[in-house]
This record gives sequence, structure tokens and C-alpha cells, in this order.
Amino acid sequence: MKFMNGNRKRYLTGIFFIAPISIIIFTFLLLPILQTMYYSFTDWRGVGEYSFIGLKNYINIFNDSSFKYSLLLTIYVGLSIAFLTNVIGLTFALVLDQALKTKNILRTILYLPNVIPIVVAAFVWRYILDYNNGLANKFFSTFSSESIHIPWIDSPDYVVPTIIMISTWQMIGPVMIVYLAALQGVPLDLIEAAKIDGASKVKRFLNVTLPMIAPGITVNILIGLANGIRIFDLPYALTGGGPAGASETLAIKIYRYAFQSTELSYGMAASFIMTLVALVITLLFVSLSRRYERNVM
Amino acid sequence: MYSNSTTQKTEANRIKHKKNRLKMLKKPSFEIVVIIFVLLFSIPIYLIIINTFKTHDRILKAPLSLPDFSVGFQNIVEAFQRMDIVKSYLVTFSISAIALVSMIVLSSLAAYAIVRMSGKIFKAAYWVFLSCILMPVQAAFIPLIFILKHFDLYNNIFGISLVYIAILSPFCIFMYSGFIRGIPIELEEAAIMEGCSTLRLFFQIIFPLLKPITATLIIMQFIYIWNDLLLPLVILNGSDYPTVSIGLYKFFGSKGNVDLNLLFGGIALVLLPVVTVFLFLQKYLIKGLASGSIKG
Repeated sequence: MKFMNGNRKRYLTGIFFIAPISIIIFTFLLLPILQTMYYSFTDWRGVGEYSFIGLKNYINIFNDSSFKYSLLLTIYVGLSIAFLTNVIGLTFALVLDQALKTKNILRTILYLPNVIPIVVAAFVWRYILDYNNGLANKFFSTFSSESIHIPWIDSPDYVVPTIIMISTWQMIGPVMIVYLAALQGVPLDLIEAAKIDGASKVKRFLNVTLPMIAPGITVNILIGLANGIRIFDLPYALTGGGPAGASETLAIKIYRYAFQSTELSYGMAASFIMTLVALVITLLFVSLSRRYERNVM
Repeated sequence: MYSNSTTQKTEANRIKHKKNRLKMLKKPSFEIVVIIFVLLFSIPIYLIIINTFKTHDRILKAPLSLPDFSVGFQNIVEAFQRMDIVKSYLVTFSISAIALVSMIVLSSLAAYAIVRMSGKIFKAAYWVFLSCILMPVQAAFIPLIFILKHFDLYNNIFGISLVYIAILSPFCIFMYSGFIRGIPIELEEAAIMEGCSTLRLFFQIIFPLLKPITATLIIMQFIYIWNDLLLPLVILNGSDYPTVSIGLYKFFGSKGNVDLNLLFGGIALVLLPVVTVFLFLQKYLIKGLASGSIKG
């Protein structure tokens, strides 16, 4: 009986432990998102009376080609950033895990882009990628007889890859650090054993190293997707969503609906779709990589 | 400390193996190639550093050349006078301090309960927190502003801090729970036997063990808050509470490309505190991650 009481007390203490943060997360994140969902089925304009209009906002929004473009763009950018940061971050981590004399300072340098405010990064990159006088175009021109002018930021065809490139540059640091940490948990005896068994370098990586760092992959996919799908600051500061809406991600579009238009409930339908996309993609990838973790352990 | 005996063994093995590796070190050319790659990667950073010490004309004509130091710290001083940077520092530091302290304490408490208490509610809480990591805060904006206004927290430092806590804590809880899973439970059992309350047990035994991962989270989330543009743009009035990002964004907007030397001075001012914090704490980054949370 006494034991039961102790357990009950512990249970209540547990509730007391998770209560404060749950209240804050509920009030300032979940509740407003639920309200967004609620209003997306109405014709609310921010003030006054409103009535329910069913799925009308959603039907309108899927007939809006600029919204469909933003939706696909966001998914594309999110997946590309998650993929590239992981591949490049893991490569750098593997390289820096070697016995290099300069590895500590190289690690710091690789992390620095993440420390720089995106507003600053956008400014410096705009300066480097300038159509007429940018360093990048000048650099490429030295390899060619005529001067090369690549419209990195000024053309709708180039702006998306440019944004993916800059964002990847920015996110390499944290992803690489997570992989470096994960690599420290890989027992070298295992790798040596595989070596003695005659496994090739590639085989050793795929069959020994990769499974051991699987939890790191989950964390990194989460970091990559979180930043890719919600990307706002970079395109906003770099191009303002342009040229001609080519880099208008969902986050920017929703910001516009909310603060630069009167179609509030329409914007809320868009917001709710974005929430669903973020949720589905994340849970899908996390459960996939969790399953991989379980299979290999 | 307790779970580390195996880690130490692996660590010792690693050092032994590394020494072997060092002996048969691949040609130093490998390292040089790596260094060249990293240097190419960091050209934007190089640009910021050198152009802080150049005149407008020199920046335009020879952006990549080394400065002759004739301007000294003039660019930084001038930007300092024009940007009202002290106010920006104070505002951003206050927000970061309030948000980080509450976030660390509350998330670690919640993670502890999730890992150590049995009951469906804790399992459910874990999944709710996990799915909150990816919730786009943009989707919450309009109702969020109404909620903040209702509590008199709109255009208020506490208000924006609470929103940061709400959006950044889920990731902290995720990392903390991974870490706490690696702490052997025997420690706590002994304390419970002696009748130690769970709250005291947490702060006296568990929380000190969380130091490495706490340092990692502080670095990551401090950088996020310091650099964030979106929330201050939406929740704060830029002239009442100019955060560092907002101040810089306005500074860029008003100057355009006219005074490049001033711009680079301003950039240096914004970077100084966050880079300093990063350089001081960075040695904990890998330590914090390696000692648990990402070993699943």
C-alpha cells in the first residue's frame, strides 16, 4: 500500500514536471494553429462577424496556380536542403574525423556560416553573386575568353538552386557536428575487424559505420527538413520572394496573406496546408530512419 | 561520469588507432586539399572580415584584397554611432536570456518525466512534443497575435520570449530525453530509497549531469534567437524593440549599397557577440552531442 502511494506521488510529480512547458507550448503554438484550422473553414477577415463556408477556401486555394507553385517549391527546397546538408555534412565529418593537424580550426570555420545572421549572409551572397560585378561571375570569366554573366539571383531559373546552395552552406555546420559526435561512438575495433576480414573501404562504411551513426541521421534529417520546409529569412532577405515570385516559399506566401492582404481566412487555409505538409513529411522520414535504426541494431 | 567507462575505453582505443593511423599518414597533400576546400567554402566570411577594415572605394575596386589598415576601426565606430546598437544588444540579450533559462529548465524537467515516469500520458506527451518540432510558427501568426494581445504580451519582451520557448523547447526535449536515457537509473534508486524528493533528486543529481548537452542546446538556440528575423518582425514594434536582426535589416534597407564601409562595420557589430559566445562554448558542442543524445 505504501508502495502504491509512492508510485502515485511520483506520477503526480511527473505531471507537475511536464505541465509548465506543455502549457506554454499549447498556448503559444498549438492553440493558435488549431484556431488557424478553425478559421480556415470560415470567411473571417480579422474583425467582426464570420460564417462557415466549408471547404471553399481550400477549393479556391488549389485553383490558385501561384499557391500550387509555392507548395511544390517548398517541398522541393525542403527535400533538397535535407539531402544536400546530409551528404556534404557527412562527407566533411568523415574527412575531419581523420588524423588531420588542422581539424579543430577547420571544424570551427565550417560552423561559422551558421553563426552569421541570415540577413548578413544574404547581403554578402548578393554581393558575391551580383550579375555585373559579382565575384562569382568574375571568377568564372577568367576561365573563358568572353565575360560570363550568370543571373544567379536575377533569373527565375537560377534563383531556386542559388537559395538551396546558400541555405546548404549555412546548415552544414550543425549537421557536420552531429555526425562528428556520432562517429565518436563508432568503435574502431569493429572497423579494424572488418578490415581484417577483407571488407573494402566502401563496404566498411556502408556495413559498419553507417548503421552505427543511424541515430545521427534521424536528428540531421529533422534539422534539414525543419529548416528547409520553414525557410523564410533567406529568400525574404535575398530576393523578397522574387524575381516574379520564383522564390516565394510557403512561409513567405503565408506571411504575405497574413500581413499584406485582407483575405485572412484564405491565408489560414494555406497555413494549415503548410502545417500538414511539414507534419506528414517529418513523421514519414523520422519513422523511416527510426525503422532503419531498429533494423541495424 | 558513470556511463562513461565504456566510452573511455573506446576513446583510448581510438587514440591508439589514431596514432597508428598517424604513422602511416596519407600524404600531407590530402590535408592540403581539405584546407583548400574549406577556404573556398569560407570566402563569404573572409569578405566580411577584411572589408570591415577598408574604405568604400577599396571595397568596390578590390573586394578580395587585404586591407592596408588606414581606416583602422573607423567603420565599426561609425556604424556604432549610427545604429543604436547598444539598445539592440540589450533587447536581444534580454530576450535570449529569458527564453534560454526557462527553456533549459522546463525542457529538461519535462524530458526527465517523459523518460523516467511510466504512464501513457508521458508517452503521448513525447509524441506531441516530437511533432511540435516541425510546426511552422507562420501557421500560427494571426491567432497568436490575438492571444498575445489578450494577455498584454504583444510588443513585449516577455511575450516574444514565451513564443521562442514554445517553438524551440520541443527540440530541446527531444535531445534531453535521448541524453537522460543514457544515465543509469541506479543512481536515482539509491536517492529515492533515502527519501529524497523527486524535484531535489532532479536538481541535485540529474541536472548537473546534463551540462554537456545543455551547453550544446544553449549554443544552437542562442544563435537561432540572435539571428531570427521573422518573430521580431511580427511580434515586436521595430522602433520600440529593435532586435539586432531588425536593426541590421533596417540599416541595410535605408543605406542600400551606398556606404559599403558602414555596412561592413554594422555587420561586424552584429557578429561580434554571437561569434564570441560561439568560440567560447564551441568545445562543448561535440562533447554534448557525443555523450548521449544521438546514440539513440
